[in-house]
Amino acid sequence: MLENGQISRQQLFILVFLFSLGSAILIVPSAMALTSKQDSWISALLGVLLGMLLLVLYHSLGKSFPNQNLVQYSEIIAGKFVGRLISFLYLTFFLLLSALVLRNIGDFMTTIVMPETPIQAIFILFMVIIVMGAGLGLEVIGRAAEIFLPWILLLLFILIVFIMPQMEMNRLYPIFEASVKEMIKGSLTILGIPYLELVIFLMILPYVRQTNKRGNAFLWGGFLGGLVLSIITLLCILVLGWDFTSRHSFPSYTLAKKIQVGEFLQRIEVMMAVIWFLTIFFKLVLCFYAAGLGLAQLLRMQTYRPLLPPLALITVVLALIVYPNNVYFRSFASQTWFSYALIFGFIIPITLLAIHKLKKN
Amino acid sequence: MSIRTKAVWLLLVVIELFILTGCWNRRELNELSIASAFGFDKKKDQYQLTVQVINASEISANKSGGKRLPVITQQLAGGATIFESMRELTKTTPRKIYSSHIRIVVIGEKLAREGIAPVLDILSRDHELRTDFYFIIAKGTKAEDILKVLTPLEKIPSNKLYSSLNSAQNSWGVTSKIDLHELIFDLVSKGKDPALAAIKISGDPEIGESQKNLDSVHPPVTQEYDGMAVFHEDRLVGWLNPFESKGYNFIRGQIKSTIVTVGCPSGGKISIELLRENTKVKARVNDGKLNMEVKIQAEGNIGEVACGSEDISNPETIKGLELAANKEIERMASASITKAKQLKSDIFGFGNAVHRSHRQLWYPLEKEWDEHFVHLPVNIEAELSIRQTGSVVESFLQKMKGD
Repeated sequence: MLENGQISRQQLFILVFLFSLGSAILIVPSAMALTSKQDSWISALLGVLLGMLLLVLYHSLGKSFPNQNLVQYSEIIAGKFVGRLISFLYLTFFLLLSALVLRNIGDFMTTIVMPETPIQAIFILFMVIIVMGAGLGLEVIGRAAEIFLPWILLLLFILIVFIMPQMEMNRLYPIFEASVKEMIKGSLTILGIPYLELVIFLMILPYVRQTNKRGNAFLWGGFLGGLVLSIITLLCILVLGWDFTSRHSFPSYTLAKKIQVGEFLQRIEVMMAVIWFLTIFFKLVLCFYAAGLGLAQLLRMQTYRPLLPPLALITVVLALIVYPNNVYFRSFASQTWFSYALIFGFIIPITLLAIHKLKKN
Repeated sequence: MSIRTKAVWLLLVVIELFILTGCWNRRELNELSIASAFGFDKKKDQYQLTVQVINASEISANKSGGKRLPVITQQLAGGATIFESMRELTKTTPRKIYSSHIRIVVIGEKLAREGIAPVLDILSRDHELRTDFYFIIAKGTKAEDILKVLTPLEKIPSNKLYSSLNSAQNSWGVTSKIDLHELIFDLVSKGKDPALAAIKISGDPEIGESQKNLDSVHPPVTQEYDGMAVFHEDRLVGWLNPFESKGYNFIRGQIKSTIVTVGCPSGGKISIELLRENTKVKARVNDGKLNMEVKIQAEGNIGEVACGSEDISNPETIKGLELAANKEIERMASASITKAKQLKSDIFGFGNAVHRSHRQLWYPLEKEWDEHFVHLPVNIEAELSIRQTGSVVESFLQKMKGD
């Protein structure tokens, strides 16, 4: 076994929850408002429901091989050659996702907080922590998640409570103005980010200590993560209006900027940015960990740790060249990403599951 | 741990010290010129930017003597774009302008008449600017002149503009605080036009910009809020006077507190201080015809009785006063609607109200909403309840008259 550590169900739950928030919390409200306008929150809830179906799919695939991860059982299901090819493709997916997530946090830092800092500096600093976290293994990541969760919840709570005075119910009306088509198109955004990305947990599920009830933790984590995303989207619309939400690169940050309770509680948005830093950290470290672990398994190595520094270098460079500017990214995230993630998040898993079920009968 | 691993750890820690100071983009206070207000004007084809820069050493509490001005106003009729002119300012200011602390943006009348949208984009794009500053329109003058007036009661003139805008809205209800976010919202939505607070200068601007204005007990030059500026799309089309502005604020539900004055039957006046106000605007359809229903609910206390003959202690009188005050509020509100209809500008957001509740009806009207707005019947209903009479009930004036 490459990974000897084990995480508890509770830690799995927290990791899934944080993973679904990471980077999605920055990108999703804006992309949704672009298609389904003031009905985005309905789209979001619809997306969460559809996303739960995906999670059920992942769970049943994972349940068929309770002690093996995706890279291991794709060889069993699809044969040695095809299975390894599939694993390899997944590794590229994980690595690309790592690069995209890294770029998200870099873009956020360089547009909002420190515009003159070279983005490489942020990438490298962030990546050092990621390599360290992934190198320490899943157990440490799980425990770190447990430690940070209360803080993230506290900040989310502060954000939601203190933004309430700024809400204007009128901004929600007319409800159901978006057509069903627009509504579904909007929901695809939240389906692509984060639900199709949660396929990464197929690499992590086998390391959960109690195999019997881990499905519950997985589904609940994904559901609550999606719910928080829907709430943030709803708040963006109530406070900023759909138009502003769709035009801003990072509407949830703009939302935090709006907090103003009396004269004393204001300008706390950078504190709120801690939510994004922490959630993005967990998303990135899991993606990166899955890529390293999978590659080591594919190459039949004894340990994955030596692979991490070179992979980190690749990720940093990839993050630099993965898209030229944020305009490109916006159209990529709303138009291209879904179909790309659909291959890895839906088509391959369901084919694997189908083949496995057929073989068994 | 062996000595070697210890050494490696130590080295790592030392390297971290250099990386983690986190001050790549640091800007020390002494390297900044803090701007407190922007003014935009148009001169021929060029945008003219006026910036009020705080003179930090004069603001500090323990300054020793010296009579330098607390603020410096810089302007430059510079580049073709605003961003260009902002950077061009570095030619005259010693340091780069830091604009996170902007309180007020003043727009000159000429620019406002030509359209304010072009100046708004940079304000929403620049990450340094927050969206919590307010917009005001210089009535009959240039933004530059407004920002040049020195104010005796506030060291920083833009702070004076900011706080007097606040207090005029909160306790008098004749201005309106609109921040960037709301303004863009109004510009984008088809069913509401913007209305911004208007400001004018009384007195000679030349004197206002010199120390003389600070030396007199009765400053010869002051900036004064005067009603509101009405926009259609992004162009200034007319003004509301204070009376109409109050009516506007009643319809928008933006009155925090104000005074409603009603006449006594026997001459003289009674003032009622409003403490709470709440407005509901609804679009209704009667026999296929669209009409608006505006319901204004308010609570208030009697603040001043300037007529001797009324018996305030009689519940009937109070009821009569309530009715008279309702009439007065309705009169203000309909005055502002009449003005807005003349200007063909739906500053009340009636279009949005139609969109919210009757969206099927709205789509065909959307394109020519100004025309429909002009002919839109509006039904105003005010309902004021008087709760208290202040610390006395009957006025002593009544006793005096009786003798």
